[in-house]
Amino acid sequence: MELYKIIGVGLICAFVIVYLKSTDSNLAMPLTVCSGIILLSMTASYLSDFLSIFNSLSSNEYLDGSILKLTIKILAISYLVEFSASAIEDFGLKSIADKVVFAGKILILTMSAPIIENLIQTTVSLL
Amino acid sequence: MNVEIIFKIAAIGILITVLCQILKKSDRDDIATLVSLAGLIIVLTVVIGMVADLFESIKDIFNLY
Repeated sequence: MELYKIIGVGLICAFVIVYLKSTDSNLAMPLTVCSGIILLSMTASYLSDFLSIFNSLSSNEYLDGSILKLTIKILAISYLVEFSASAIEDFGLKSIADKVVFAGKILILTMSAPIIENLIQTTVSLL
Repeated sequence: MNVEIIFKIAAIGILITVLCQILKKSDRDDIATLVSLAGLIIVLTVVIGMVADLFESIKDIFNLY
């Protein structure tokens, strides 16, 4: 299964990084970022399959396309914020990672405003 | 995008540490700092290229803007 490959790569990267940290070379930090990128790019293929299904879902008339496009954008924001926040946290800068996560939340909140408005409109029309 | 990049960077790291040790023993500390700086720059360019590829692939997947 693909999962074994991802776990294997993660373990190998962990061993190499710990070894590089033990010889206290300052190359351990870029190596953590690089292994994070490799693991994320492995999961990217699954994400594109899911998104193609998601797009075909938007074809029927109940769900108009704009809401689905927004949810896909929110998914992308969370994907990027999670990657960068965990990379920054690896460097030991917890406060900056929290700020990145906070900024991501604010962005998602502003993007989801039309969805909330749509929800309210549908509920009011039902009453 | 597979594991060989990890081993390349690890090899660079080990090589740099060994070189720095040798240079420090033969009391050429200034060259040792230059060598470690060079290694860091090489690895940083590789990693920045990979970050750019990651953001590009994410943009393609989510077909944003």
